[in-house]
Amino acid sequence: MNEWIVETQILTKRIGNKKIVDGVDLQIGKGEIYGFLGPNGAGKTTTIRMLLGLAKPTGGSIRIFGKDLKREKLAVLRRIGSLVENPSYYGHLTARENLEAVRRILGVPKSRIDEVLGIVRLSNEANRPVKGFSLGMKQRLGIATALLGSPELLILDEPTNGLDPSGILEIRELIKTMPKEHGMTVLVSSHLLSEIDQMATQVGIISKGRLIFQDSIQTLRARAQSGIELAVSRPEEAGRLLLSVGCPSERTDRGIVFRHQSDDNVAAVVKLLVERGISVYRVEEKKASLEDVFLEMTGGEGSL
Amino acid sequence: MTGFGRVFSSDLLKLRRTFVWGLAVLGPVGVIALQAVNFMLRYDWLTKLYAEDLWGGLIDNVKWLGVPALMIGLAIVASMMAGYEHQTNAWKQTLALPISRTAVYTGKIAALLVLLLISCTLLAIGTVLLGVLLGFGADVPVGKILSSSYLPLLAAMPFVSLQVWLSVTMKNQAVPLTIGILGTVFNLYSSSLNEWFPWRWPYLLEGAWSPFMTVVAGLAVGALLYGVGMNHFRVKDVN
Amino acid sequence: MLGVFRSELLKLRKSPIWWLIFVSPALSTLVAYAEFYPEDLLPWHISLSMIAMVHGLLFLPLLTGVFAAFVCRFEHAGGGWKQLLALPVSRSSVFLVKFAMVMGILLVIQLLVCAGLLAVGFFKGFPMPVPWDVITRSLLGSWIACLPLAALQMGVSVAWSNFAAPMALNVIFTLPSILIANSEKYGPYYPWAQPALAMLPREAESFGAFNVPLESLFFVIAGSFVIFFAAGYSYFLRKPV
Repeated sequence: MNEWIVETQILTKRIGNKKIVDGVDLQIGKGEIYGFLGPNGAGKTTTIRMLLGLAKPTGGSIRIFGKDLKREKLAVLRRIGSLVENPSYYGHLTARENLEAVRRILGVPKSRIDEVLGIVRLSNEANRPVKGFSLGMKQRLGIATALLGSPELLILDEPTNGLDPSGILEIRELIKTMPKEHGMTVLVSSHLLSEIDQMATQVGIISKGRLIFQDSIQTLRARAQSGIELAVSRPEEAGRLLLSVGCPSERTDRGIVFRHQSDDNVAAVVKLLVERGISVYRVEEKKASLEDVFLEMTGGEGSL
Repeated sequence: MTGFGRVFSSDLLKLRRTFVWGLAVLGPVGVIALQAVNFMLRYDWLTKLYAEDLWGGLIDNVKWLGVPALMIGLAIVASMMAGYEHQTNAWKQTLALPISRTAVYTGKIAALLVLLLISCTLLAIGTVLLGVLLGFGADVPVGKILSSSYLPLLAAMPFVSLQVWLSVTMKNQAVPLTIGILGTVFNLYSSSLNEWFPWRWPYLLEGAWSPFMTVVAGLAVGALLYGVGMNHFRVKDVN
Repeated sequence: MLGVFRSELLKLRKSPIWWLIFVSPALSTLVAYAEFYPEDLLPWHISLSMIAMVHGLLFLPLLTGVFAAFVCRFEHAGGGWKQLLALPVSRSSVFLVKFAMVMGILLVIQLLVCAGLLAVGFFKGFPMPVPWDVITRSLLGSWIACLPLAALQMGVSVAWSNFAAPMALNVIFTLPSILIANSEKYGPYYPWAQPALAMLPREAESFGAFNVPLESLFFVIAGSFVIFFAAGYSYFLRKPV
């Protein structure tokens, strides 16, 4: 079996009486883009903090690159780059100086600064004080900082926060190239399901501190079943009618919806309704979005 | 370069173009300037008072203003330095780097000490200049000036450690600054306190304890508080 | 404006600032209690002078700075003034209310000092009747003397987000008071020495600037208040957020 890049076992964090993170078993493989999803307050950021040694677990263990985080913390951190929540910077320093402050600690060559500035397209703004940067630029600087040490594992918490659509696209494309071009594994946490949907290869869903789903994105998408919605004149009757021929359905505000059927079956349903005098106004295919699946899994806590 | 060396170099970079350097200069310059005004306005009275030891009188006067300035100065600079990190919660970035928390904490204290040493040096130079300007003669008691400028800092180490500990571990700088202010006020009225009170120590007064003992006590308690603070910093969660 | 006031009060309620109110009165009371009172001199006046030296010279100006920075802290820490100033309240009322809060806290402190002084007086058997006029003039006068300091501190506290910066300014101006208050020529003109000078009882035996006529004191206080307040107020009204 391949060694996981990140593996936690029964990872727990208790604050007071509450278990913010409850027995989480993360498994992230090499080269994956792992989307870490969950409603606000579900324990995402706390878990990430524990992975970075910023917070101490109350129970359980963390292994990264096959090493125990507690025992070999510095060696592990050397190979990780991170951006947690709002980017941290020193407003009175320029972008270059901000990167230099981190570079000195990492001990990587100075040329690396220009390289990462190029990757996030901040080369032209390198000598401006960061306090004058827009939110998007600060975010990009944060990512540049995370890349400074040429990490093998990139941990990003809400990296597209505060970016405009083109910025979001840019970051997303950047993240997608990381495994291919730099051999990195990426852990991205977000509450933007659409984003995760577009870039993740693995997904982990955490809710109320527990990991309720951890599998490939395809498996998650498969759960999102599609259905056929009919806008009809007498939904109640239509529903009963379909039930009598063995097709259960649900009311919607415009009519009824039932599970995806073969084309022939759909045609037969429509024919049946029309024959019984029920008008059919619309026949639409509805794909359940990832959002619906997510909401269903997390018990509709919702994320705002 | 060792871990500490790298962090220290990074810490000094972070202080570029900040006012902490200005404060490090302003403190001693202000003290000397005020004493200059003091001596010039009351020249006759003061020179008569200190007729036996003009330099000694000057050094003492500088000390009485310089020590409170040191006490409040160290609190303010420690707070400003920590403030730059707290502003965007830069701790979560710095502490996720492959560097020990010990090195990070020590780096901050070291940077503070560098600034304070600059202040002490300027104070010593200023004292010499002032004495010469006032015509106190070329027989400059260098040894006394140096010990009066630097030893109070050593004796004040408990407060250096305390302020760094408070400013680094708390986001709200109001608390460490207020404690620093209270400490300075205590320090101003501390001559009537007994030797066991650290607020008295920076003045290096002769008493039941020799000034030498006071400096040793200051270094010892300072080291103790440094250990306590660092331990706390190492274990605490970063939010 | 009442609404703004109540919201400000709410913000301060949970903060650790409240214990600070008791520090100076407690210290002043201790100092007054420990003081030695020779038989024939006026003990009320002596204790007031002592308190003026501890509380008026240092604590009042320094605390003014602390409280002014404190009432602005939440806005600076919580991501800026945008949220507060985007509400349907005038910037003017925000500034005035915060300023009033600082002065209000200082007034409470003066009352506590008064209480402490009375306690010491009764305990130590000072002569009756209590010289209310002297005490009131002393405490009220020094409170009024804080107006310009509070105005300046408010101005810099809204401008600078790093809490230490207004404090540094405050200290830089307050510490020299120790020397300047003693000076006959300059004492009366230095705004940071005014709280101590105003606090000194009128007929006390003293040194240097201490026998300053009331008029010049008020002139300096009023003048510096107008300047500092106008500067801070207009800055705040115009400050881009």
